[in-house]
Amino acid sequence: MSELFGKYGLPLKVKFCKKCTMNNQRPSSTVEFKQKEGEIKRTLAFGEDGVCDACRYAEKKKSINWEERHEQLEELCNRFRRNDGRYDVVVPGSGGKDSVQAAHILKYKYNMNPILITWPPALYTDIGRRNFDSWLDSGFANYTYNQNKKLHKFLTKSAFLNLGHPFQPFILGQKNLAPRLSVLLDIPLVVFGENEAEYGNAIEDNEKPTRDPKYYSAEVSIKDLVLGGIPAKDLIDDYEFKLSDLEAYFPVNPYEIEKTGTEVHYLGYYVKWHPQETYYYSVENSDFMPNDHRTEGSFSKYSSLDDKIDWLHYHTTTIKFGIGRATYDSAQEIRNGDITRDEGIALIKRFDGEFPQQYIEDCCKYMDINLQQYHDAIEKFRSPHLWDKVNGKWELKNPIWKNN
Amino acid sequence: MRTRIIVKFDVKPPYVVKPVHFEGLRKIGLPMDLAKKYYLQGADEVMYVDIVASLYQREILFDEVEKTANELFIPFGVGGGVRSIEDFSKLFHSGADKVIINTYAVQENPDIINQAAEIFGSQAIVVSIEAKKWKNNWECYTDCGRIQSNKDVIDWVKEVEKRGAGEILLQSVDCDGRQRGFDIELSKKVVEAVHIPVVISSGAGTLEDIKEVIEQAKPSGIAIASILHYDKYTVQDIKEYLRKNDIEVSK
Amino acid sequence: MSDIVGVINYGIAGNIHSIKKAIEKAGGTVKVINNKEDFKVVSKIVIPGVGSFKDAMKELENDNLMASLKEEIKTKPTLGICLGMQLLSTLGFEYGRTEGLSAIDAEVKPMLVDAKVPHMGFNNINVLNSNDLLKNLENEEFYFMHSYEVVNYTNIIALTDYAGHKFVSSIQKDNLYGVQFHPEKSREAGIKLFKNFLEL
Repeated sequence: MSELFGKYGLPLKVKFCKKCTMNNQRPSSTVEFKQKEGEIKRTLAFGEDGVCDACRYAEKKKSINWEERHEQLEELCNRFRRNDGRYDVVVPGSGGKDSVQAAHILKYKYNMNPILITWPPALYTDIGRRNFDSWLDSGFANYTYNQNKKLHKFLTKSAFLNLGHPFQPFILGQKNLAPRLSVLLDIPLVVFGENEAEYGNAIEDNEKPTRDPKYYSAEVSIKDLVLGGIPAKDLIDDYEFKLSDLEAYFPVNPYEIEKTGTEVHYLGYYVKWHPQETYYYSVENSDFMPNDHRTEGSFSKYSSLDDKIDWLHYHTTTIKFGIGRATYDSAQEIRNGDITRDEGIALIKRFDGEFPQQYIEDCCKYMDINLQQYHDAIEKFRSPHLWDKVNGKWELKNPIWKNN
Repeated sequence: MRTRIIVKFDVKPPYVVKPVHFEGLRKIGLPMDLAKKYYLQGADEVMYVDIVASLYQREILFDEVEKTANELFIPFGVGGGVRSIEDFSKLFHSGADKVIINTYAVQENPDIINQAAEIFGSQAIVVSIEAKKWKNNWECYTDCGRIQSNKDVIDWVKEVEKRGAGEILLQSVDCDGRQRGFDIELSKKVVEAVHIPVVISSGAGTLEDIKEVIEQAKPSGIAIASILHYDKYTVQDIKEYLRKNDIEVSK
Repeated sequence: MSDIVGVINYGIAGNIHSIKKAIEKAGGTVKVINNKEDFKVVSKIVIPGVGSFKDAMKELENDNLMASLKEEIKTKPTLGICLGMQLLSTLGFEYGRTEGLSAIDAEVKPMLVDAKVPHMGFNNINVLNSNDLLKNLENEEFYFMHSYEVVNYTNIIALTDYAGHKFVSSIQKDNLYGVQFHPEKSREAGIKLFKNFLEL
């Protein structure tokens, strides 16, 4: 690795965005099904003015003509709407605020007939379960693909131990399931909520309404695929998992996509996405509930509530990139005008990187490891250029509240 | 005794906002404009809480309080981030008639209630409660309905009464902002547990809701936010409806 | 002497801001009394509420205002509001036994009533004798916020009923007036009361 870069190829010098609380250690989109150990990450881009790409996009959003985008969505729906009573749009999700809003808007404002599909979390939280039910209570049917639990556990554990990324199996399936079911059910239109560019992925990804097929379809052969840091071939040959079960994690065959005419669109392109307003929409139009208390590692109660592994996920991002849930949440809220940068910094100082006490036992039990093994494993992934041990405790060398 | 119709301001300075379940910061308007609006509508009181001062761990913004106080000739209760006797005093000097406290008293130092009551008089000390329901009881929450305390609401209200609090502002994390009705069971239990006045908040969606909680729980006052802020009803709509239903309210 | 109303500053307690605002709305000019010299320029005095009997008396002594105040209220039109009215008495029993200003022969004791205490909210006043402070205000509602009441039998100008218990809501002794309620918190009716006071 070059001397200019730290672990994962991250820039050695931590730089904070002048407008939000995000920093240059944040990785942008990864093609998950090829992710190997020790891979170099592409990170959030910053302009010469010290402003990050996500803030730049937020600025651009202010001059978008949303009336026009609404018309574009109408046209899209007109193109795919079926009047014979069959489903005409696949809405993926799990009952979080984004999928609640997406389903509701498509049905009640754009007169579509959505079928909800779910790649379920490894470990549902109570609030996640309740919100899933509320989602369906609003008047929707749902296909849930329940993964082979033995395989899913194995992949989660491997992803954690090999990549420090226990969330990977979830992400893999979530992106692929919708296009897969689109083909299976012969419903070409797929509409996801929001758009990752909102959080700082490649800004070009936001210029169009559709998801780049490279993220969910690929003409790849088994020998190129890696899951949980283990080549797919080994999963079949050495670990005796079946291709049929593994397929759920693979990208969809592009020929099938073309045959069905599958198009994966982002609602975030057509509707001004403001996560807090999405929360309001959900509570005003369904029985959606926020968390029972503050979500660990952050200050908020309305985001990413359904998967216990998510709590670990933010702990690993803290270890690897020095970025925790409070940083992600505050950066997004700053861009949307909900809080100021100073307020975000105060919240990060108070809550970021909090140990995921609430679900750590459940998650370790799920992965069949004990707490000590968790701590030992996670240390492998700590980025030395970000952390210092002070009086026996790990501290960030350059936290945002000391920087500035 | 007339039931007071009070307007609740959840404030993230400089705006009044309206959370749901103590989450969300959707802006409603400027507190001074809203104060004037509701004073003219005939509100009996305004209760203003800076909902982020404790969460963000920052000091109280006294200027904002004063600007709002200037529009009111009705009692003005103010809270949010109160942590010292000096905070109490400065708030009274900024135009507050009552001071509201929650987080600091629950999580750090309940003695402040005793101290404040002795200096400023019980009647000016309001303890605010953010109640979250579990199976058979309610827990006190703090920091804008976010952080647990392991304190039982009924035990706590009895305790603060003994310490000298003069009034309770009872809010429900489960009902807040949802406009689906109040937590009647909680309301009844709290009103019955203490001899000091209790103001019930969180949940008004219809005029019926307000009538029901008054009839069932017999509070001293009702604090209302959503249905007024979203102009679903005016204060006079509420008072007329209650009068028609034989519930005494002020003019 | 010009027509300036002096409002006593108790130090950390007291809601001077509200009273000042209300007097100004009624057309008056306010000077906050911080030390005894300030009394020289005022023609009327207001003793605010919000505080406790014991602490307020302590503050007045610490600020060296007690003696001057006792003198000034012998002649200047004075309005005691809530606690301010209670302080005019001989003895108070809030947080222990404390001597008051002894301007009226009364004591301040806890309200004994079969209802919520403090008495908190709008209530009526029953004016017993016509007087300049409460004229034209007989049918108005005023805001009450107190746990103690003045027990007095000779200087009553208004009574109020709370849950069947009648208590003194206003007193007058020559130039001294007291109201148990808060005119600065009683909407237009309260402003009118201040106007009456200014016209005395």
